[in-house]
Amino acid sequence: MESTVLIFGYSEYAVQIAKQVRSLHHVRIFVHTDGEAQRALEDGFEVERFDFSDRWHDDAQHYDAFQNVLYCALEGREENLFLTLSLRDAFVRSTIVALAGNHEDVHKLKMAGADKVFPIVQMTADLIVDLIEKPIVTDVLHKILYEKSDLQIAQITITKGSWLCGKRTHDLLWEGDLEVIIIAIVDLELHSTFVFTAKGLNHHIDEGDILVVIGYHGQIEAFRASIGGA
Amino acid sequence: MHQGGSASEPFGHSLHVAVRMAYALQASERYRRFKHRIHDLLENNANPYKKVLDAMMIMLIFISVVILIREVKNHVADGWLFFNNYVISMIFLTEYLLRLWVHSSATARIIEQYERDLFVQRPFRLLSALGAVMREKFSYMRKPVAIVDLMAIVPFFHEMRLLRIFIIFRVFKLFRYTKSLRQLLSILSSKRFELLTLLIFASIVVFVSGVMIYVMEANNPDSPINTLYKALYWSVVTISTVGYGDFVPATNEGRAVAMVVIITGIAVLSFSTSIVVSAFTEQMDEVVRTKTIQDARALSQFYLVCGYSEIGALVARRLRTRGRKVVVIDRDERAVRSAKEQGLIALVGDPGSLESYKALKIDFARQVLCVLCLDESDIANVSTALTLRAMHQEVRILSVLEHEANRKRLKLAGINEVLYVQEMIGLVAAEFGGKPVAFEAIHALSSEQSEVVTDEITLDEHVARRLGTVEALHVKPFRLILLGVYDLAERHFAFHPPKEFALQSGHILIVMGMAHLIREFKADLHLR
Repeated sequence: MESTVLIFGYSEYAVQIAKQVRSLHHVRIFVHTDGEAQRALEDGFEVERFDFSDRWHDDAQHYDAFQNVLYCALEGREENLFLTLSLRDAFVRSTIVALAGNHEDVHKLKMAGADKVFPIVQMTADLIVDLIEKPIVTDVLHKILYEKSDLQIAQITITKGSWLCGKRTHDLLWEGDLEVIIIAIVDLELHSTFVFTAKGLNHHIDEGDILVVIGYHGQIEAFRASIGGA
Repeated sequence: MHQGGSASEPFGHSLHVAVRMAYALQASERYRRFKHRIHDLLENNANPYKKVLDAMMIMLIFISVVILIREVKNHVADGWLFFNNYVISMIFLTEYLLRLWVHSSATARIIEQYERDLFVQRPFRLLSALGAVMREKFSYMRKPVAIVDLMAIVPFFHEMRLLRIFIIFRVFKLFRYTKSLRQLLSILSSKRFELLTLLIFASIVVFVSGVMIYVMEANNPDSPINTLYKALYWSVVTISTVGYGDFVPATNEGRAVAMVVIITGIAVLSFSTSIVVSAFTEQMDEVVRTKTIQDARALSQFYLVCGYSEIGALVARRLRTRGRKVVVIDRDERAVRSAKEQGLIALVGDPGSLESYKALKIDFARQVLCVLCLDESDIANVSTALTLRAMHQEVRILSVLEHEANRKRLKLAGINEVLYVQEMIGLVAAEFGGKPVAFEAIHALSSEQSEVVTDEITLDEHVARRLGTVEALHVKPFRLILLGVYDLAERHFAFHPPKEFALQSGHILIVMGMAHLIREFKADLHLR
């Protein structure tokens, strides 16, 4: 079943999020002004009006699911905080992503129940610095991450009985001849923390670990099939 | 009208020899270049050789003064005396004459006079031209610094013992070579009217009180103030509130005069202090601005941030963490103050105005790594970019874009890279929705706290030829992951290249690993 993305607000950030996710997900835009509603309709989105006094429980019955993502992208920071808090109360299973203007808001939005907060200013500053200091790396990673190229990044969960279970990262990175590159592992035994393979630790791969790999689409799918990954 | 260069007879009569010489000199590229170099060396603070020259002059001044002091009670070797009296004096004389020469152009005045006379069809008036030349030269000679320069040469005539004291004028030459002293002088000169008024007032008080105390005390046999000279000396010592006490009035009338002088002295001292303090207060902004400009000019390379917005502040902080130098221009004084509090070189000025950059006097080609237009308005960023392009075509400009509709305008303004933040956030958010773990991994990699980084290493011809293929890189001992090789010429990225992949000059290795191990790997590539 196609997952649903609910976007709250129709700021320029919200517009861009909606444009990026519409090809992969069912998108619904929730707005609270006529102007926003009109612009979203003109852009061809399904639009619903909301009020800050809404209780959201009816919507949650329809849309609250683990694979669904809610984006809180209102222009007012206080409104965004209030909305995040209200949505968390109703949408228990969905992932809530909120946009924050600054570092102070990041903390508050997390307290309000957001699963992921994008600090806009920090991310922009990081990107600018990367662009001017490491233009090639930034360009390559940008293509891998965001452009619809054949070179992709993917996450693969190790299933029970995979030939990778029991292997060590050093064997895979520098001794083996994998066509994909494993850049990180999320280890369930280590409380789902990242283990960057480039950190040099000879990590023991277990069932349930999630591999973050980079490779061409065909190579990634072949690798996924060979290890029986999900 | 004659345009220089030719010394022929274009006007039907022979040219005066002075005019011929003037045209010849004006046409001579070598002469003009030489004069320009001398002027640059003596007057242009940005000229690196000027610093050397100034340091040398300061050293000569100190040598001179040390010799003068030592000579008072000790014998000084003849060699040092010769050096002091002749060599140093000759150097100072040469400098004085060179400054006099470059101050104005005699050839230009002669040609100007000749062409003016020609225009009104009258004979060339050489004396008038020479008069103009002399007036210009004399206007330089009248300047206090030029007078000091001249006085510093006087000890050359060392046989006249009294003139030796003129060596002390060499100390005043320090004003010419020391920026801070020059600044102090210029601050005080901004209040010269007030200081002159006070000086006149103090002089009148000294004179009147001196005469009065002389009249009151001179005929009293118990009073030590029995000459006009002593009376004036007493008056100066008293009005300055120093009061040595070597001469004191003995009569009641004299003491009454003393009380008036003491009270006047307090007033004079208070006034002079307040004048100096207010001069410093008024000029402080200018002093700080001058210092900022000097600091910026002294940097070898830096990023120029135009618009110290919230993003600008964070970018500057990130760059500083990486050891980069940042210079900020913003029209808002509060923003500039905030930048300075962060330890940045910051200047109040409109980034969209040529005047701001002219004031900074920076060399874009040599110093500026990249200009970052980070104002929150597209209009302001376009204005900044156009201004910069009017000054320099090559400098790299990056700008943030606030509204998608303005993207083309920013490109038209000559901005090399336009960053549309909203689009970027949209891409990131979409990526997070699809592959949250992969997103977190890449995001963690680019965070400041991450020990693991992705870096680029450009191969030069020497290293590329020696290595040959990817196999020779030996990344394993450094625990590096070679993501791929980027070919700058072809703009092609070879992901995860095989061992036999041939490396060439200009190839860029994209490696992932611990920051310190990448540094070691880079060093190892060149040392192998």
